Parts: sequence; structure tokens; C-alpha cells
Amino acid sequence: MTDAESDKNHSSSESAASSPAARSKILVVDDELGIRDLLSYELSSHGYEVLTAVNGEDALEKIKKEKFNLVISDIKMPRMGGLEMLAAIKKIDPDIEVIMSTGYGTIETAVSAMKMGAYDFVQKPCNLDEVFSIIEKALERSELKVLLGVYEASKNIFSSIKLDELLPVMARLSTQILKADDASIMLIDGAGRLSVVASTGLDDEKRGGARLALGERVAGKVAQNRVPVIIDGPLDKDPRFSSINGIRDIRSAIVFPLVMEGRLLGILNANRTIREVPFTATDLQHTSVFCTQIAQAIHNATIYRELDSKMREIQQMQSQLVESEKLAAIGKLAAGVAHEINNPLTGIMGFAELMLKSNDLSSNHREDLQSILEQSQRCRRIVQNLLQFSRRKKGNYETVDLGSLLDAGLQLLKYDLTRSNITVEKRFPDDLPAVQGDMGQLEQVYLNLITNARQAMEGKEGGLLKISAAREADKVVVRFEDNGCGISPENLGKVFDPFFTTKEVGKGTGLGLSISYGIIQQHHGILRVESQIGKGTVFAMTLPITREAPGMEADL
Amino acid sequence: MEDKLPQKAFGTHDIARICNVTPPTVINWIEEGKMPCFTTGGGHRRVWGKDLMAFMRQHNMPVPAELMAQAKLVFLIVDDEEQNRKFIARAVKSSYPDAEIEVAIDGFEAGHKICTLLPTLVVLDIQLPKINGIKVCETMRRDPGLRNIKILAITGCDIEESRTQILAAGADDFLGKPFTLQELDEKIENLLAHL
Repeated sequence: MTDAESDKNHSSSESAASSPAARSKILVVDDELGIRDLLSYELSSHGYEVLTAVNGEDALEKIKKEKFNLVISDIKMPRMGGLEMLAAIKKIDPDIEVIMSTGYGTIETAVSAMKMGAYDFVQKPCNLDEVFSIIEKALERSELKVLLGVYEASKNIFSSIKLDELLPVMARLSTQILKADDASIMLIDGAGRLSVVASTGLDDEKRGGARLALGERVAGKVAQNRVPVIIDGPLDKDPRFSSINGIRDIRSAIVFPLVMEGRLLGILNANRTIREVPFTATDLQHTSVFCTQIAQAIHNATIYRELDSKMREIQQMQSQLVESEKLAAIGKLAAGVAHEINNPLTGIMGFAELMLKSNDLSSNHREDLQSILEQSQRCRRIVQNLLQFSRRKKGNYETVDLGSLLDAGLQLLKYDLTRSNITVEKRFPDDLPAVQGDMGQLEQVYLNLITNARQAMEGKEGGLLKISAAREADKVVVRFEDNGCGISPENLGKVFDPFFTTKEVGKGTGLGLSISYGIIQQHHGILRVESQIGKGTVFAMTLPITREAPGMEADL
Repeated sequence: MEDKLPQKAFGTHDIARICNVTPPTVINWIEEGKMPCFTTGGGHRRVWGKDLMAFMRQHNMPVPAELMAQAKLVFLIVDDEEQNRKFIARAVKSSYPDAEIEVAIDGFEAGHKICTLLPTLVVLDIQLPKINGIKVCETMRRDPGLRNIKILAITGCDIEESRTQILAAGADDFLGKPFTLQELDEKIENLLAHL
């Protein structure tokens, strides 16, 4: 549709939602002209829109073409009788209420008509007042059925906030409520493009694509006027849609804008392909109620999603802040303690060594002194780690190829990994961008993470360490995924704490991950952990792809 | 402090030969006060060996083996912790049995002993009471007479920043505490090889 002007010429086949509420349409079926005329006249004067048919066949033809709210039919008719017709009507549209009338009524016919779904039964000669009262009740019920559908939709809307669950339900409900054969909900994304987010009744992709093309064609106009359109088929004859393939089957279509707070969120498109009856203003009215709900749901979900992502962001920032504050405080303490310990340690190590130089030592004494020396060497390493942790060395930043750096790291740990029966699966894309970083520090992180993974898979059959890298926007993410013992939820929050270790005494200082965390933080990256006990652990390290070197000073 | 060492004094002709200059040049140096001297009873000018060595080092002249051989190694160990002074002194003694080894417990005493002893090498702790090691280093490097004394800085705060700071202040090398005898020996040996 090129512009709004051309649509005015087709106003006959398009009803705007602003047109007066549709009158109920009643089909009077009787082989007697007199009855047809009488009822037509009486019903029309009560404001109903009335059409007539001379027998069952004639009636069905009309019902297929047009939507009726109610059928009043004689039972005994030539060609096709009332009961046969009733069954056929209920097949076409179970919501059409049918009232039976006959001059030769017996209880049996009445019962069988009611069993087949007739709403009520009037005896000829008709008491017109009785007929009107029955008609009103029947129409009320028909309206109620639609409203029930809308009610169900609202219940769904407020019970689920997840769009991916909600929208398919909405699409399905809209086919039921509108008696459409297929329906699609299309939303406008951030780039202003329309895409199908949920559909029902469209089994193959090609038809879905055609609906999208139709939606795109009409969306402009719908968006501009915020007014729904009904397009009467067949669409392949319509010059406005001639360039769209795959909509030949559409007999009637509704395109309805989903508007919230004056903003167009998307459109709902419902089509009749099997049902021959075109959409009416009543359908449009139902759609209107229904679409308000959908729009509200989308709006709610969007707000919820925004809120959720904000909350996540805040939580993440908070946990990072807590982590770095914790590290900073412990770092200061560590530096002080380290200095105080190094001095006495000098004496312990030194005198032990001096004594070892003496010639008149028993072998026991020599062994004891050797132990003193070894243990003080261990203290020395711990203190050195502490100091390194508290006052990280200045980074020497250069362009680092994370892939080849990993190869070097794996080479270093090859023996340990092989001995522990661990398979390493490395997946790095060839075009992974380089990062700016301190080669030595990043290698230290690699070694820490690989060693941790190895220790988590120790003694396990089929240990598998998957190391993969990927570019995500302006960042590189390297994931270390093991299938080891995993980390319990209560320990997961502590893994980056200095001195936190679950390893046996002497196997770990509990500083490896804190140091790694600090190094990645210093590189303006993030080190994250996810774990499931018994299943394994994933460490994901995110580093920015950047030209400039990160700040030289540690944050601590 | 009493100087117990047997010292050798050099005459102007010896000095001229050692320094590859003429005797009048040496007399000039003495008269300009560049080289401290004393006079014998007979009126001859003599320069103590350690003063001659200090002068030559100060002016980047190669010190001949003849002079080195008779110069005694003097070490000054500066640390505020008694156990550390004791250990380092013993460690140095075991590697250089003939060396003279002195100790100081703070920056003030260190400065005093450096000036009077003119040690060959100072093992200098950075964190010291009164005057810290950095200050001691800077003072020594500003004084032409002390500029050539080797300084091995030691500290319990074994991090890059300490190393950078003390080397910038003029220390010749740096050793983080605690250290092994071997590490200490290697550092000292290396410094003495570059006197």
C-alpha cells in the first residue's frame, strides 16, 4: 500500500474500528415466503440486520460467505432440512446460535435439535415476543463466549511476564476469538523493523514470510493512522498486494495496530483462509479489546525486561564493588603482615642455613635444619604471593594473542594434564581479535584457571576441559569449562576471596583466583564463575579489545 | 672510632706512577685539597692508601691490583633488627673471613660509620628508624667521597616499587627479605667484582 490516499478508494472493503458497533446479523431460513417476510420485517425493525435463505443449502452458502450471529430456521424444508443444516452450521462455526422453529413440532424433534447444539426451540405459529426474548438471550450468550476468550487472554497476560511464553498463547487465542485460521503477532524491534514473534496456524516458513510481507505492507498505514484495517480477499486479485507471493489463500485479513501510550509496538495479523466468511466490524471490535491486552502485555514485559536487566547490572556492579573493596582491604592488611613476617623469616632461614654449614652436625640435626629451611621457604612463597597480590606489579602492556598464549600455557601444564587423564579441547576462532595486556600476568591467569580445573577433575574418568574463545561486541570472552566436582553454592561466592581454598593443606595458598581476579580487573576485564556441584565449573574471562593500554596502577 | 688496620701510605712519586701522571700533577691535587694527605717528620707528603683509592674511584681511574690487594674489605651491615644484623654479619664473615665487618642499627649510626669507615660495601635495610635507607643512599650519592661505596639494599617489602625506588636513590643492587645465603653471596660477589 503506497499511501493513505489510495486506501480511501477501498473503503468499501475495509471497515475502520471507529464505525458504529456492528448490529447483530441474523439469518432467517424458511421455505415459506410469508414467514421469511414477517420475521425479516419484525427483526429489522428491532435493529437487527436480517438476511434470508429458502432452505438449508441456501443458508449454508450464505453462512460460508458472511458471518452471522444467529440463525432462525425451520426444521422441515426441501433440499436440506433444518437438523442437517444445524449440524453443518455447527461445523462451520460452533459459535453461531441456532434457534429452531416448526409447526409440526414434537418433543422428539425438539430434543434432537437441542442435542445437536440448537439454542432453543419455538413453535409455530410464533409468539413474536417470545421469539425476541429468545433471540436476545442467544445473542447475549454468543457475545459472552467471545468475552470469555478475551477474559482468558487477560488472565494469561497477567499470569506471565515472559513474552516468549505469552505471545504464542496470544496468537492461538486470537485465532479462536476471531475465528481466524492463522494469526501472527509482529513486533517492531529497536531498528524499527517488523518481525514475526509468534504465530499460529502457519506451519511452514514460507507462509509466515508472506504474512510478514503483508504486515510490512500495511504496517506503515496502520502505524500512521493507528487504525486497524480489514482486507477482503481474495488478496491475489488486489493490485495493492500483487507483489507479495503466498497470500493467495487469504480470504479475509485483519491487521490491527498494537499501540501502547501512543507508541506503535507492532501489529496483530489474523487471516481467514479456510473459512470463507469475511471479517466483520464485530470481529474488529473484539480484536480491539484483545489487542489492547496484547499491547499491555508487551509493554509490561518490556518494562519488566528493562527492570530485570537494570537489576542484574546493579547486582553485578555491586558484587564487583564488594569484591574489589574486599580485595583492597585484605591487600593492605596483607602488605603490612608480609613485611612484618619477612624480617623474622630472614633470621629463621639465615641461621638455619648458617648452622647447616657447620661440620659437626648429626644427620638428625641436619635433617631437622633442612626441614626448618624448607618450611621457611614455604612461608616465603606465601608471603611473596601475598605481596604480589596486594601490590601488583606494574603491567607491561603489549598486544597479546590469547590463542598462542594459551598454547604456551597448555604446554607448561601438559605433563600434569596428561597424568590426570584430562582431555583439553581448545576452540579459538582464527580471527579472534588480540587484546592489550601483560603477557606474563595473563599467562598466570591461564595457569591458575587450568590448574584449578585440573584439580577439580582429579581422579575422575573422562576429565574434559573445554577452553573456548569468542568475540562479543568489543570484548573477547575466554571460557574454561570443566566437568569436575563443581563448587557448592555456599562456596561459589567465596572463590575469589584471598586465602579461600578447599584444597588440602599445602596444595593451594588460596590466592590463585584472587590474584587472577585482580589481574583481569586491572586489565579492565571481568572474571566470572558459574558452577553446578557434580557437573562442573565454568570460568569466563572477559577482556576488552582496545587500542590503548589500560591504566598502569592497580586499583588496590 | 679507632682505626686498627695496618695502613700503607704512598709518596707523590708512587701516586704519579699509579695514576699515570707526573709528580707535579699529584702535588697540585694535594695542594688543591682534592687528595687528603699528611706530612712525614722530614716534610714529605704522604697519602693513605684508602684515601688514594677513594680519590681514584671518585675520578673513575682504574684501581690497580697492587692497591686493591693491600686494601682491606670493609662491610657495614645496617638493619634495625638485631637478629638480622647478626645473621648477615656471620654470613658475610663466612664468605670473607678477612674482611672487617661493622654494624649499624639506624640511619643515623649508618651515616656516621659510613663517613668514618669508608666501607667497601654497605648492606642497607630500607626501613630504618631515624633516617631511612633511601635517605642514606641519596646522601651517600651526593657526597663525592662516598659516591663509590657499593650499596646492597635489602627490604622486607619485596615488591617492584621498593626496588625501583631504592635503585633510583642510588643503590647498586636490591635483595628482598628473606634471602638465602647463596643469594646474598652472589649479590655481594657481583658488586665487589665491579669496584
